Amino acid sequence: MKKIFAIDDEPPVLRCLETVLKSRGYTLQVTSDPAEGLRILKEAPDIALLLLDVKMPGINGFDLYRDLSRHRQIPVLFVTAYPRAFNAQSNDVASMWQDQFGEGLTDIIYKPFDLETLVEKVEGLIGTAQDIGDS
Amino acid sequence: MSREDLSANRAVRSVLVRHWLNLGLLTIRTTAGRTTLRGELKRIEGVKNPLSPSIVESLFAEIKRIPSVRHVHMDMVNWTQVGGRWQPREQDKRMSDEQAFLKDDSEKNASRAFDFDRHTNTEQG
Repeated sequence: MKKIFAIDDEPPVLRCLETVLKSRGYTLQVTSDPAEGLRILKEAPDIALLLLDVKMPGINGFDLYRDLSRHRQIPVLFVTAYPRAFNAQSNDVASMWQDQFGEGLTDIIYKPFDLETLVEKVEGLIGTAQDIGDS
Repeated sequence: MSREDLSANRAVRSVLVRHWLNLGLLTIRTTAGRTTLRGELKRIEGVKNPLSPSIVESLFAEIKRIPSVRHVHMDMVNWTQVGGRWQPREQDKRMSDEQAFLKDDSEKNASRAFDFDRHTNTEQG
């Protein structure tokens, strides 16, 4: 079964992601602590997709993403309420956009999102829960 | 969804990123080599050059050249094909990319109306 890991500092968002994606057959693991999330990601090879908030206390989603990218390459779906966080005028964002996003393994969904759009984004990155094979 | 379809999605996302397109406004689905792109074609904030018909033509052509893509359907709310040429819809002609992001700001504010516990999107007055 495909395992999805979600990191978001808002527990209601995590509950929503968990409910919707479990109902589609995925296995979900969640945390609202980004530091713990990064540790889990580095130790769990079976995670097929990371759902990642951008603005969080301590480590922001972009820093976590860059750190993770140095260790492993997995599909990432940014889940954020801040479209303006993706700003090409920021050197950090621009280099991340060209280097990591350019691989095609990263997508973005903006809150508030339609639940079908969430499922479509997830399936577009790793396939349905029933698809056989890795992503 | 086959591995080839996922690979096509990945290649499409790469093309979109190369053109600085806002992935959050688009959904990509490939089924048996048929790719459908839905949503709004807009660049991320801070990109100086706005989208032009020639850029959209080039984008479309690049997606069609992806080996695992046999057919492309683009269903865009702000661009349309007229006589085989891509052009912005009327509303988008009036709205610069910068103005479009002001709209994104109002969407951000609307996020507070989303009730994640009940999984319903409540209307804000």
